[in-house]
Order: sequence, then C-alpha cells, then structure tokens
Amino acid sequence: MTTTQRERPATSYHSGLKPVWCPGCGDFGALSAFYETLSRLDVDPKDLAIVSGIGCSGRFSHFVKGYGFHCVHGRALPTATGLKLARPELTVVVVGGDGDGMAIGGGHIPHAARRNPDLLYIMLDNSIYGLTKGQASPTSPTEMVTATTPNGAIEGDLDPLTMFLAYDVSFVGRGYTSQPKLLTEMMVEAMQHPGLAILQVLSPCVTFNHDVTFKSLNAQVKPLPNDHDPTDRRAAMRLAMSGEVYTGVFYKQVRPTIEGRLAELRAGVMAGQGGQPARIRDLFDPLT
Amino acid sequence: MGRFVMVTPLRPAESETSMIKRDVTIRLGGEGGEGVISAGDLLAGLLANTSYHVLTHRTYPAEIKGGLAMIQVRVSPDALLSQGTAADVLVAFNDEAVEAYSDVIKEGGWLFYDPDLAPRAAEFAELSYAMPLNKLAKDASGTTRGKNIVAVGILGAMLGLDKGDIAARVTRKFARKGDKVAASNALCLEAGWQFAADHLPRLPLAPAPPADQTRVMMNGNAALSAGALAGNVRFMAGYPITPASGILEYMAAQLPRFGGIAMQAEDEIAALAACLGASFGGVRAITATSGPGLSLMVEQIGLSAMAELPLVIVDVQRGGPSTGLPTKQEQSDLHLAYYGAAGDVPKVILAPLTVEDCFYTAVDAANAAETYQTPVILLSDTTLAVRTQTFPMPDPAVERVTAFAYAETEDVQGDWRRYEDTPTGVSRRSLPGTDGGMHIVTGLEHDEYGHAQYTGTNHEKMHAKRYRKLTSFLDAFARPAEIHKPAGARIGVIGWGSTYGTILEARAQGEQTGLPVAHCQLRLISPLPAKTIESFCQGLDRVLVIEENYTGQLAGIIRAQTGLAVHSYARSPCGPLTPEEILARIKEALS
Repeated sequence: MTTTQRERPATSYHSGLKPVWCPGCGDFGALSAFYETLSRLDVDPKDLAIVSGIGCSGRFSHFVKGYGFHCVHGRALPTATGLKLARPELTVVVVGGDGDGMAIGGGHIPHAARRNPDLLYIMLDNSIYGLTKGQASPTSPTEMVTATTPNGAIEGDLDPLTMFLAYDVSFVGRGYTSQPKLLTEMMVEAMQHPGLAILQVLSPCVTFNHDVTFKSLNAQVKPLPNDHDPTDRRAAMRLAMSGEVYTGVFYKQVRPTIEGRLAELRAGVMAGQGGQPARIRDLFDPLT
Repeated sequence: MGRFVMVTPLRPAESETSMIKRDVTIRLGGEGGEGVISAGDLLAGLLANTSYHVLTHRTYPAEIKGGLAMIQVRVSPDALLSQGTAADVLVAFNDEAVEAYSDVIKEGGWLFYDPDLAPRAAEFAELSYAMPLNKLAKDASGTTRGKNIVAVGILGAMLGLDKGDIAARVTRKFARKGDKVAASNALCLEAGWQFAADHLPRLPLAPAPPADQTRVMMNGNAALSAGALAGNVRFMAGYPITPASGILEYMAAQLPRFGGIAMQAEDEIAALAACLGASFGGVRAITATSGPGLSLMVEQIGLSAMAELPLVIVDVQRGGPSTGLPTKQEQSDLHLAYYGAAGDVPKVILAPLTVEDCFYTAVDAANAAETYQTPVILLSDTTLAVRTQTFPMPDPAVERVTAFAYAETEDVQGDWRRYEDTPTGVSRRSLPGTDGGMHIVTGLEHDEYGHAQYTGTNHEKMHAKRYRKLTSFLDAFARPAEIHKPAGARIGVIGWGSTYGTILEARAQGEQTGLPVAHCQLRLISPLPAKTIESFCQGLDRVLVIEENYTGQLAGIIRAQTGLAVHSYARSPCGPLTPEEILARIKEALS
C-alpha cells in the first residue's frame, strides 16, 4: 500500500498545534518519524495515549492527535504504567528527554523493566537541558561547558543504552533523528514489540549544545554490525560498552507483560468465585 | 514506687454482687512479639461476638523485635465512644509494661502480672495478683504456646462470662488449625479459668445486650478500604509506610476479587503517578500513605488539580515531623494537606470521625473526586487505623455511588472543549477510546481546549473555574460536620476527625455535672464550611478548637478563613487526648 492509499496518512496525526521547537531542532525528525510510524500501523487516534514528561521533548504530546497527558518532570513512565494497567487495550507511548528520563526519572526505569508493560518509550537525547536554557544533563560529556558547568562538567556521563540493557528492558534500541528512514523502521518494530520498548533517540539541540551536534554525531554514528543477534543480551551489552555510537535494535525478547500477568491473576481469582466479581457484603464478617 | 502498698488479694465472695460493671477497660502490655496483642484481639473478638460493644486501642513498638506492645480492650453493653482513660485491670507480661502502664490503673484497679517475667510488679500496685501464664500453659497442655489462651481464660472468669459459651467459641475459632490445637487451647482456657476462680478477684460485667442489629468489628484501615471498594475504586498503587501499609495489603488481596488492580510502586511518587495514569484512563484510583509519603506527593496533587483529574489520597497521619513517631497518634498533616502543593491548589479534604465513618467517608471521597474532577485528601490517623471497634454492618445496598456521565462521540462533535468553563466549574470529560474526544491534558496553565496558555486573563478565568468546583461541591455535600448545640451552652468545642468520640465523652461527662457544651466536629475541612462554623459560633462566649498537634493547625485555618477569634487547645502527647483532660480544659476556659 502506498502512502497515498493509507486510510490514515502521516499528516492525519498532526494535532493542529504548531511545535514550539527551534528551527532545526532534532525533535522535528523524531516527530515526523512518529507520525509515519502511526500511519504505517494505522493506529486509531482515539486509542492512542501519549504520556510525556517535562522538557522540550515533553511537549511532544501536544503535537500528536490522540489523548495526550503532559505530566510532571520525570514521572511519565509510572504514569503511563498506571494508564496501561487500567486501559490495556490502548496504545500507550511515553516521550521524554535525557534529563527527564535519566536524572529525575532514572529511578523508575528498572521498575518499568521489571513490570514490562506494553509501552513504547522514546527518549529524545540531546545531552543538555534545552527548555531551561542550557544546563548540563546526565548524558553531557565530561568537561563540557554548560550553563551550570562553566568550568567544564566534572561528573561522568551516563550511557542510557548500557543502563537499559543492565536493567533488562525487553526491547532496547538507539536511533538518530538525522536518519528518518531507519528511525521509522525501528519505531515500527518497537511499537509492535509486546512489552516495554525503550529507544534512545539522538536528537541534537541546535541552540544550546555546541559539543554534541549533528556534525559530531554524523561522524560517529554507525549501524550495528550485520551479524549482531538481537536476542543475545551479552553481545548487546558488549556493543553498547564498546565506545562506538551504534544505531539499531540492540536487544529484544518477548516475555510476559504485567498487564498479561494481572489478567491471568484476576481470572484465577474470579474462577475461585464462580466467575463473578465479589460483592461488598463479602468484605464483612458479621458478628454472631 | 512507694505510692502503693501490697495488700492481700480480695476474695471473690466478698466482691461479687456490689461490683457489676457496665464499662470495663482491660489493658494488656508486654514485649513486642510475645502475643500480647493477639491475646487482646482474641478477647475482644469473643466479647464482640457475644454482642457486647467493644473498642480496642493499641500501640505497636516502632521496631520489629522487642519494645513495648500494648492493647487495651474496652467492653460494655452500651455503645462506646473512645478507648477509655484508665484501666480496671492491667495485665502485665513483663516488667517494662508494669513500669510504663501502672499509672493507667484506676484507683482501686488491679494489676495481674506474670511472676516469672515481671518479678517487680508487686511493688507497683496496691492490688496486684500473680498469674503464672507459662507454668499454667505448660502444665495444662505440655507447651507454653497457649499462654495467651490461659490469659483469655483468666479474664473471662474475672468478667463473669459464660464458660461454656466462651469455650465453644474458642474451639470454633481454632477448629481449622486441627483437633490437636483445639484440644490444647481448650485445656489452656480451662486452666486459666480455674486459676482465676481459685485465686483472682471478680469484676463481673453487666449482661450482653440482645443481638438486635448485625454488627462487624474491624479497624479503620479495613473500614476505609472496604469503603473505597464500595465507592467503586478499582485501582490502587501504593508504597509501604506505617501506619498505612494495611490499606495496600487489604486492597492487594481484595481488588482482584472485584476485577480491579493493586500494585506496589517503587516509591510514593511513582504510586501517585500510576494513580493519575489510571484516573486519566477513567478508572477510580486511590493511594494511601502517611506524612512522609504525602510530602513526596504534593507536586502531583497540584497536577491533579490543574489537569482536573480525579484522585483520592489517604493520609493515615502519625507523629511528625520527618520520620517522627511512626507508631504514634497525631493530627499534624492538616497544614500539609491544606497548603502543601505549589500555587493556588483547590482540593477537597475530608477527615472521618470514627472507624465506621471511615467506610462512608471513603465512599464520599471517591464520589467527590470523580464528580468534581479534583484531588481529595482523606485524613485518617494511627488511632483510627489500628483501633478495632464494633459498629453496625455497613449497608452496601444503599445507593451511594454517584455515576459520572462521560462525553460520548456524539457529545464531542464540533468545537470540543475539554475544559469548558461552566456555571458549576465542572466540564464535560471524554475518556481515551472515545472517537473525536482527543485532547491534551497538561500541568501547564491552559485554555478551554487544554492548549498551553500564558495570559493573565485566561489564568484568572481558569483559577475561578477550578475554585468554583469547590463551591459547587460545598453546596452539595450533605455531611460537612456533626453539630450538637444544647440550649444554654456558653462554650463550644470544635474538633476534627478522630477526636470525635473523646469529645463526645467529655461532653457527656460535662452534661452530667450540669455543664452544657456545644460541639462541632468537622468532617470536611477543605473547602472550609465557613458558614457552618460561623453559625455554630454564634451566641457562644468562647470556642475552643481541640486537636492533636503542636501548632493548632485547624485553629489557624479557621482564624485565617473566617476571622473568628477561636481559642486553641493543641497537644501532641503521642496518644489520643482523654475526655477528662478535654473537660478540664473546657472548665478552665470558662473561668
């Protein structure tokens, strides 16, 4: 089916609100890839929920036609988990940045991994805090000069991908907004993955980050080796720790989701009650 | 020490007829982990099942092993209002309990002690009696495991209960543990009963009332949880914290039976986030915590108010500040609940008055949250959480759950505005899955469409809309306070939440001495029912706001919101206030 034959072309997912990002911002590429992904999968906007955090990337939910929830800084993952548990039939996507996801929000990632809800989490990584005008982020390289590190950053930088693999997230990938075709393909695959899929999407900030730029990334980014087996977590870890900036699907494994296990648990409990929900009076032990 | 002198025990025959009591309070104390509290619970359950009114009060030690555990069982053929101030009997399993609680014994009251574990007990009380629990259990059943049952037998005989009836109930209660345990317990019960008959005085209890209503006995955490389920809550995310963990545990067991979901989150922030997510999806959601957890949650309470998403947050208050006194009573989170989040945050705050009221107020909270699309903070406390009390079985047949009509596809055609300004302040709302109803929900200030908007005109308009919802709720809410204003009362008392029963008892004591006291117990604190309070204060010479915190938090709010010159009696004694103390303070205020 060509794009013109699709029922829901990519443009049909525009919310009508104009993105507030700086011209040339990497996030535009991520947004386009996302519209295209939704179109290819023919997602019905009424069943699409986007939960986003705080930051330039967090405004993402305002620009996509669907049910958007722009919540507080760092808490999009547990918010989306609660939503998915309550409404498992919805397509739930989480979007946030490297500050939202790896600083204030970092503590929620391992627990999301343990639960493995069927969510797609797009982490737009520009190695800076853009919305607040240029402070260092956990992925800013050491020695980088920023608004809060005027003499150069003295802390080490985190590698999100290695951490996702260490936490045993069930689908881990890295993309680059300058490679829209590859990014879209990976988003489609991630969205179809029945479990937690986290994509670190390199998305340079053209206004505040003068060190990690399209130019510097173009020189570094390369695809994962052809022979990489994405079901091999150790191999994925080695590639993540290699110092190269590989793009592609590092790791994937299908395993039970928390909503699936909850449904089983509930079915079991219900079966023990003759298939009917309990009644309020069942909660009380009348005194005799 | 030195205050009392050891005398020879009263012989049962001398005391029998003159001492029938309508109200007996028994306190049991001992080392944590020794079964002290389960002995008290067993006695309380037996009494409740024989249609007495029972109210228990307990404190757990803050640590897992060691420390002092205490349970107080108050029993009467009449309805009980509070845990009782002084004990007719103190049952001490160790020296520490004697030292800590001998002051609680009434004048003329008794101390029963285990001579092996509390050898110094005899020094502490005028009327003290040895009860060798371990020895009696061992001799009767071959093991000391049943010493709790020995204690129950002793107390049963002392209270003049029907032995056959109690024995049958104990057997039934332990039947599922097998014949051996049941037989062993029967022997222990008999041994205790016989020992009491031979050696201990009687404190006969007036006969049980006729069983004219179906009652239950549960603690406040359980009553609140059952109320949430009755209120159609089907999602809970929580994090363990004393004294609220019981709510998460109860819901983890019960929610799946109702087709709902309970989850333990990684922290309180994640718990509240998950609740907001579920609420966004249209499911009634609740979390439960204590002061330190509520402190972490205030940011998202602001989000709930700004995004107009329903949310119920239970705070089971404990001693603060900071880690404070995790197992002690206090009512000191009111300011946190009222003022805590950043900005001007409209919210509902409810405080249940009794264990029974925990059930009905939880239903009110769930309804208010969804109907007015608002955060609702339910302030319970340690006293209510762990107190077990007999009360009439809640009637779930009463239609108390209000259904909220969500916008369907036909409603959202054309110019769909999720945050449309309306006379009540409440906007229509479409849930995910509704065709055409898509919109953005954000913590940013927004216009009627939900789009981020930063002008002053819009901001003030949206503030007005959000606060108007509270006014609409206040106009509709049927039970903001319980008020009693007797003719001739010159002084009034305002309390909130769990001090209700204690103040009722103080009032009753006052009325017995010819002192009428007006009483207003607030169940609703935000929006503050100012007109109710103003009307209550009219004609009174003095109004005293009574609460269990150090800074007089409710008094401060009332003064700020109404300008009324109320007086404050605020104390934080790590336990509930007593009726006697309240009455003394009232009399002092009058002079």
